[in-house]
Amino acid sequence: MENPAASPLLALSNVSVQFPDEGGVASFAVHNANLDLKGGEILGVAGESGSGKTQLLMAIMGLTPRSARLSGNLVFKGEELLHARRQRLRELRGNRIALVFQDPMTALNPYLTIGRQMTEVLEYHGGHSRAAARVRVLAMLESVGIDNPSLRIGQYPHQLSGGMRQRVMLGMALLCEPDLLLADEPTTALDVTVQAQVLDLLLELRARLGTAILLVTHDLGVLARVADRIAVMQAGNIVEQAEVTALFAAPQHPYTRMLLDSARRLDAGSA
Amino acid sequence: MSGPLLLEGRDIAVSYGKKTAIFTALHSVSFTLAKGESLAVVGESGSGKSTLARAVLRLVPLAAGQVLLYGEDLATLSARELRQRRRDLQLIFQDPLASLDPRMQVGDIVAQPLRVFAPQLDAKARRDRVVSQLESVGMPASALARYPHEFSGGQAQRIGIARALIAGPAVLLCDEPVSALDVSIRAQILELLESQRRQRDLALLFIAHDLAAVRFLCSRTLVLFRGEIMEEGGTAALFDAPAHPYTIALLSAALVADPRRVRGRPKLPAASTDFVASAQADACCAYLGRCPHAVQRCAQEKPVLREFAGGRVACHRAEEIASA
Amino acid sequence: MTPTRLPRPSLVVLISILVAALAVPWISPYDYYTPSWDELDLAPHLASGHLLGTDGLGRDLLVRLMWGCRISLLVALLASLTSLVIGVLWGVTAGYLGGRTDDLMMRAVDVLYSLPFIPFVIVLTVLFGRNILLLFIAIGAVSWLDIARIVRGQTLSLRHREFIEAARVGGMTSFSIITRHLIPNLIGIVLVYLTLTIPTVILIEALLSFLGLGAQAPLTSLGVMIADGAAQMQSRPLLLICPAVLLAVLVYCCNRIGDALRDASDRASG
Repeated sequence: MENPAASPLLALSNVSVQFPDEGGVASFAVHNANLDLKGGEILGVAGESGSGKTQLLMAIMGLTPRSARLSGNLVFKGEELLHARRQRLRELRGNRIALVFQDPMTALNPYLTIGRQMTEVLEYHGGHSRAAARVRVLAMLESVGIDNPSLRIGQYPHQLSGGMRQRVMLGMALLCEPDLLLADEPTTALDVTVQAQVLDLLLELRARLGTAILLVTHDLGVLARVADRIAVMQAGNIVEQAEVTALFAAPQHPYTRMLLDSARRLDAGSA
Repeated sequence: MSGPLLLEGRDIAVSYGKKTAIFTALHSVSFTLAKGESLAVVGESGSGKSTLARAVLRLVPLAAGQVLLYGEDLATLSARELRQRRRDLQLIFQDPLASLDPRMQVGDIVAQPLRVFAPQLDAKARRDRVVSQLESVGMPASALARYPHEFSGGQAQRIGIARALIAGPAVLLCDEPVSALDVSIRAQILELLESQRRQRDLALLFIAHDLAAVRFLCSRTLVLFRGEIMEEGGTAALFDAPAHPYTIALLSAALVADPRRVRGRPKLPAASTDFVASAQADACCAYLGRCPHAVQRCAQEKPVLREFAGGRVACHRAEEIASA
Repeated sequence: MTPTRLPRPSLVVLISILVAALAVPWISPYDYYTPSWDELDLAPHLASGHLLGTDGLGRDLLVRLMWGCRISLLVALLASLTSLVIGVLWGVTAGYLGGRTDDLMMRAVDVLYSLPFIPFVIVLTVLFGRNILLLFIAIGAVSWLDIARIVRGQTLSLRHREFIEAARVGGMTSFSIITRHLIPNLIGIVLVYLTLTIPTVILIEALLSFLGLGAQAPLTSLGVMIADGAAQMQSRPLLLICPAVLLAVLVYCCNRIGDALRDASDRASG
């Protein structure tokens, strides 16, 4: 019998996402992606706009648009997900697999209080009563570093700053203590100091809950800080995968080298 | 590297709203910019840095203070005279595609400033200038007849730069020009700005939250927090030995593409609670709620921007912090 | 904004009607106003060339129908264009200048909105007599209000876009910003609105003519023909059915095309 600790939490084999073009010609947003993610690991996916990194996340969550054609194999905790029934995906989403978006303002419902949006998750997935859910939400707000949780729980998204909204999003994602957290550019819209805090929070949560994180971003600095391993995507293909220090010290693929050069050109230069 | 004083801001204050709900975006910000100089204005969202650019350009009204171009107070000018002065004060935007009229061809967009500031040119002369300007920013002449949506973010920014520079301004304001662009494109655009600055002896006022870009392009830096200047000085000196707690926090939080430098770093120190907050917002330091070094004095007396270690800083405890 | 999915059936039908409205009076041997005493109230009769028969005064029904169509469309087009010009200029100025000017201009619109339409037209008729020109002035005077509001709203959202800021930084005057930047970016929504106004105006015109306030005899419009046909509904149903059906088809086609244009422009603006 396989040692469950050794087999990956998430395994992608030759996953492709295709979109039919206007003229009927299909183009690949993601082409033959092969990825493994172990429990408690932080895997970074680096790529620029158009690399397909967001579509990769969407495929894992089952949130690709109707017109997309998926192929390949996607196994999460021993279960194939790519062709799973929608009901099964709904059960998993927010529960065992959670997603954090780039722009918390558009991801949060402006007409519902923070508290209501969060208790909703618990009521849907855990069958909790509103009161029991509220207790857990308050605890979660506290642990993601939101000051004065009993006040914030009754507030609306627009009353919170960008950093706080992102923490709320993280809190929402972690309410059911998922095994896997997918994050799409979670700190891009944030100021540098807030970014540092949110990244610290991610690391702390990984240490405390053992959540695996798949972090997609174009910011190599973020990956240098938090990722254990990095996969580099270019035009739908994963062109290189390596452990973090190895990738930065000795990039193999020309595209990776180009990305690192561009980032370093700015880091090193001075007027 | 500094020449005669080109642009000066004196005690600029900008506020929004009426009567009871007034929000002060900028409180008494002053700066100078000489010919050929590059000044960075750094701050987070809500710091007022974009408002400063718009105040300098007179796109928003000033609640107090003055903006002087070549020593002339812009507020004393008539609408027509102000429009003419705009020749020397140009702007490039954060969202390059949004800054180009989607219904106009690129050639017309870039030619627009010539129509306003050099009306004596005929159509052919204009066209020639547009083509040469586009080429100097690395865009082909074939772009003339195309529309903005046909271009990528980086290319659109080049077009925006061409438009800003075509009438030969003395000062170029840049409002976070590369934050919306991919990393590989950022370096190219910044290098383009740098080369144009050198060629034309342009003065740059560069607004950013990306410290790496600032270090690359600007010789002096101004750090803004909630509409007030926290620190000001030579970029290199500021980065190597920041004096104000906010600048220290910004620099220690900044990430670079090098795991050896950013992994395992300690968390940012928590804010100090070693004081009793006063009721009046004006009587305390703007950074009070986040500063790890705050003491009672900081809650009672707003620090004044003063000379310190070759630059200026607004902090009561700068000396103590520096020697720690 | 390329209309890639225009509704072909509606387009075809509309164009056919337009072509017929222009061509039939030329082709047919009959005109629309000469009574023919020995051809009164004929049923459709292929041999005599009266494809739809004649009316109570012996005038060929098909020709009158096509003429009615022409007049209805002409009034609709003229009234729509007038309301367009007034409405766009009013709306874009109010939206761009903002502040007190905007308030004043839009309050004026609100006041005019509250004017009761039919009594207004009746007053005009009393003052100036029944006149086709009057008809289109009356309709135009009312329809510009809607488009002024829509254009003002659109201008308000465009006003803060970066490319408008860029124009101000570029030293352009308010007037040139409005004409060179705002109006071209409003054309999309204006065009869509136009295709939806035209059917509304056609119906208003039909209503006014039905009430006797519109085109004067022997000139006819679809509204007039429907009124006449309604009076003879029992004995000559064709006199009512033909213009009514034609009116319905015209309005439907215009609406379909307007919807498609709006979908296309929504897609284009993202």
